[in-house]
Order: sequence, then structure tokens, then C-alpha cells
Amino acid sequence: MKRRFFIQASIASLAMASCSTPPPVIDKLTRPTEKQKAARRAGPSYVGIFKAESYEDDLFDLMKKNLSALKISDFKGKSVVLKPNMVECPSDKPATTNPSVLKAVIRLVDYLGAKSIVVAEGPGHMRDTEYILQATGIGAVCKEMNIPFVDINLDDLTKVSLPESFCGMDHFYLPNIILNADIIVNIPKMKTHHWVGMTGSMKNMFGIVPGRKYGYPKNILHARGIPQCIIDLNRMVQTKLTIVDGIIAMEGDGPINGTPRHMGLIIMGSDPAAVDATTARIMDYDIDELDYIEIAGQVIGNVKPEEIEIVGCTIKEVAAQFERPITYLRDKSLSAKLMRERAQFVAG
Amino acid sequence: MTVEALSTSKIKEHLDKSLEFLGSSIGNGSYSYAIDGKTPSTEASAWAAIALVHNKPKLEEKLVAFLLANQNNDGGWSTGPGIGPSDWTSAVALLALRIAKHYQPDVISEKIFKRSLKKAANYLITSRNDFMFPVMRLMLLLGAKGPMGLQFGKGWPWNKNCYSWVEPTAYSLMALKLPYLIDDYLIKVAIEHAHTFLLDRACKGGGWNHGAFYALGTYCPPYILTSAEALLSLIDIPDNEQVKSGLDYLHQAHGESFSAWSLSLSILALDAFGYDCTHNINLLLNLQDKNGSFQSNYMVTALSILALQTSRGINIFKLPKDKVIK
Repeated sequence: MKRRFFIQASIASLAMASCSTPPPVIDKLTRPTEKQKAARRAGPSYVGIFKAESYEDDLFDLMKKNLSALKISDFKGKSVVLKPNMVECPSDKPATTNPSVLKAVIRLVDYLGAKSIVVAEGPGHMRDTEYILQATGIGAVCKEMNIPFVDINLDDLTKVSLPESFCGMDHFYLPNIILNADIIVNIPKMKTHHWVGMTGSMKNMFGIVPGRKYGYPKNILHARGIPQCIIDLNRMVQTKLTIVDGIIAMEGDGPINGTPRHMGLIIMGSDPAAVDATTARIMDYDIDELDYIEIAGQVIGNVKPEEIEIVGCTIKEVAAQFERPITYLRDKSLSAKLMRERAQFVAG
Repeated sequence: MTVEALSTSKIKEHLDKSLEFLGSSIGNGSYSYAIDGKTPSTEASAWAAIALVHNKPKLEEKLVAFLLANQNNDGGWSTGPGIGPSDWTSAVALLALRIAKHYQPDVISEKIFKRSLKKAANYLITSRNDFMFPVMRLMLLLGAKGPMGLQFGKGWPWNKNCYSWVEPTAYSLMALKLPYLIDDYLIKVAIEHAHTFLLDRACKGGGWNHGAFYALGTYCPPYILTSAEALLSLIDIPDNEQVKSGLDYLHQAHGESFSAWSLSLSILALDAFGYDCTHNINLLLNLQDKNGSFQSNYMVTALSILALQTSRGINIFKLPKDKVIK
């Protein structure tokens, strides 16, 4: 990202006087060191792209019958935490994982022989998680399926060291529900994101960061750099399966205030970097526009097309030109101009 | 149970059940957030201390001892003992100590209380950060509103070295104003800045969310919890237009929440400003678990106790008339 654009974007975001938050660090991530690269996933990755026109479809059956081609871990006898995206609950906006997708994943993990299943999330903005559980319908699904929910924002914490970090912190305090799990299943929403371009699997890991320690919206992570923290969190906590809710996606001003976009897709895989790279390509992003995915390709998993085997539909068959947030237009000078205009609207 | 007016004795029955639950779960003298939690939470313990001040002073004494023992050298508190540097929970801990000393003077010696109060107030004053770096200030000065661009509000962050947000600002204001205003010039200035900060961030149509009333071309909606917290922290300026709009929003939103956390804060705020809360109290009672807790969470149970006590005319957020800040 060009320095001039960064400065203009920073002024605009400050002048908006919106959250009184520091400007997000959207400059380039530093190149990874050899030590940072050492833990990168080896071998090819498999990502499934499957059509599901509606939330009324039999999503459990769709997931179950396509699982074997994706070469996922053995769930038998494991304690499993399901991590949906429940960032906030704006009305009429598909900002969160749809409860039908969560329900299908609960059934899937149960079918795979998990010893225990818990749904856990640490919403980004609202402290009152119970309120969001009710508003999104996720609470109702947990109740119906008799699955406990843990509010990560208020969970007990353990200090986890983070050598060779990208964000400059040498440790994180992480919730015990996540640290004690055998397997974490990530269930993100397919969305645009105004500070990092798109949010899928890896960005959804912000929800494992406890608000009681890091503030809302995970304030320290924003100050330390969103891309940097995305990479560090995914290095510290590895998910075994990602199932993206791309049935009704979000385009435009995501991750909260965007508009619904029907994509009719479920995207699955065990390598979060590969799943995100594939999702980004479906949304018409080039990987080199998305710093954190580019770096993830060096320290997390596979992001190059030749390293990812696609199962189900091809990217070309389902790709769509997503409307981008004004902060992430291909034309960077237009991005800066629009942000200035909107900033002046408030300032005036 | 229907959403009809309940007798005082029925409310008392529910209240006693919650108090009994809280009293029997204190363990080592502190509370975690979740009832199956294993490690102490400063915030949950502080709200529990506030909830018990009128009911179980012996237990409250234990909680006060926990808070005093875990005050950091810089005067603040961390979210739990040994969990990193001081943070936003310092405000709630200070509030609990001040409430404890006011209503149960013998719970802390004058000397210890004064020392703790001084350190904590100093932490709160110094934990605020300047809004912008010098270069950014200059850019705003030149590029935005001129000198007026620098007359920005200043609240409190969740963590030091981050920027301000509605909720930590509200908690800090409560801690400095309740049970009465701390008579100190720096604190009065900080309160003025924080008022400006909160009032600037009121949502279009009233109320508050976590911080943004507007972002990238979109007006952001208020939430019940954050609006209630902001209103409780602005209790001394009831005639302010944003406060009135916030109250209108909160009053209209009543019955919208099925969360005991939002409902209890909403009851406390509306009651503090003189609204009748019978409807919301009835809704809250319906959310009580069989064991007397609310949302399987000690903090929410404590807040619910405080909310239910309003039916007895007790609300610690009601500022005494003779202590109204001018």
C-alpha cells in the first residue's frame, strides 16, 4: 500500500471521529524470518467449494458427503470447539455465521465421533454476548442441540508465549476453552472487510482473543496491527477444519455494515490459509492485494493456486465481483478521495 | 409468571435467592465471571462487592480485601490477579472500594482507603492517552476544523496506550463520581473531557454504542447496554439533550432485550433518572435461573441484584442531590 494513501486514510479515519481508535496499521507486514516460516504447513491443501442455494438446504448432508475428499483430521473421541463469527448483530445485515450452518456443523462433528462439542466466541464490539446470541439465533441453535456456549471474552485465561511475533508482543493471554480443546473448527462468514480487504477463516480468529484483557473491539490488536495479529493468532492456535458460510455473503462496507450478496456457497478445508486464499479469489481479490494472506502463504499454509487442490466447483464457476469497501478499491486514489469526502461530511 | 406487576414480597423472594447464591459461591474471597470459572475476575468481584454492600457486609469485606490485595503498584488493577498490567477494570474496582467505604465505613480503615483511593485515582488520570500524535494534531489543525479541531473530548481506553471508548469512559466516570465527586481539580478536568467525549459520540436518534456513531458513511446504531452505562455515568447532567435522547432510546427499547446483563443496567439507568421500571424488573425476574443466578455469570447476577434492589428504593447510581456536580 502506498505511503501517501496510508497517510490520507489515517487522517480520514481519525477525522471521522468514529471510534477514537488509532488508525489501523495497514502498511506492509514485515517479511517473515526463517524461524517464522519453519512451522508452515507442509504438503498440498484441499479446499472444497460446494453449492448450497439456501439455508434451508440439507447442509449437514452436503458437508458429510464431501468430507472425505478434503482429508481432514480424525475427530473420534476429541473435544471440539466450534468458533462461529458472531462479531455483532446489526439488523438485516449478514454479519454473522448463519445458525443453520452452525447447526449443520454441530451435527457433522457429532457424526464424526467427537467426545464433546462446545460453541465458543468472543464478540468484537458488544460486551453483552447473551444479547447477540439471542439476536443472531445462534443461542437458539445451541439450546436446541443441547450444546454449551462459552463466552470467550469472559473466560479464564492462560499466558501463552509468542516467540518471533509479527505484532511485537511476546505473549498473549488466551482463553482456556480454546487452549484445552483437541480440535477447533472455524466457521467464518464470507465478507469484505474495510481494513484488511476480506475476512474469512484467519481473521475470524480475532474472536478467540478475550475482550476482558484486550478490550473491545480487541483494541490492542488493532493498535498492534490487524494483519500482524491475524498471522500471530493463527500461528499460535491452529484450526483443524474451516467451514465458511458463503450462502449469503457480505459485500461493500464489511465486516458489519455491508450489504447481503447471495453466493450460495459452502467452502471447506483444513488449511485456513488455503481456504482464505480461495475465498478471496472467489470474491475477485488478487492475493497480492491482501497482505495477511500473502504472508500466511509463507508462515501458515498454502495460498498459491498450484498448491491448492479444489474439490467441487471451480473458482471460475462461482467467482463474483464483490463490491469493495471504499477503503479497499482497486483505485487507491479513489479510495482516499471517498474517505476524505465522508470524513468532511462528519467534520462539517 | 406473567409480565404483570409483582408484589414486593415476590421480588424479595427472587432477590434473596440471588443473594443466597452469590453468598454461597464466594470460595476464596473472589468471583470469576462464569459460575464454572476457576480464576478470579476483578470486575466480577467488584460488582459483587457493590451488590452485597447493603445485604451481606461480611462477604463484602472479603471482596474488599481481595481488591485491596490485588491493587497494582501503579494504582490500577488487572482483569485478574497476575494477568498483565493494569487496565479498564481499575475503574470498577475503584468504584467498589468507594461504595464499600461510603456505605460500610468500617470495612476499610481510613488510612488504607485513602492510600488506595489516591493511587487508583492517579492511575485513572494517567491512563488516558493524548488523542493524537503531534503530527496528526497538526494535520487536523490545518486540514479539518482549525483550532476547534483540537477541542476534542478525551475519555478512557480499555488498555493503556490505546484510544478511548464509551464503556471504559463510562466506568471511569462512575468511579470518580460515585458515591460523590472526588474534589480534585485534575479529576474535574478529566470529567469535563470525558463528558465531551461521550456527548460527542451519542448516536443519531439517541443512545450510545461502543464508540462509533458514524463510520465510513453509515450511522451506527446504539446498544442497550452501552447506552445504559453511558447514562449512568452522566447522571449528574440530566438536562443535557444527548442524555435526554439517550433516555428516550433506552425507555423505548425496554422489553427488547432478553439478556439479564442489558436488562439490569437498563433498569439501573432508567430508575436512576426517575423512570418506572416495573416492566423490565418483571422481565428480569423471568430470566433468573433455578439456582438464583443470572446467565450463569457472577457479575451478571450481581448486576441483577442491584437492579432488583431498585424496587426497594435502593440504587447506588442515584447521585445525592447535595452532591450534584456543577
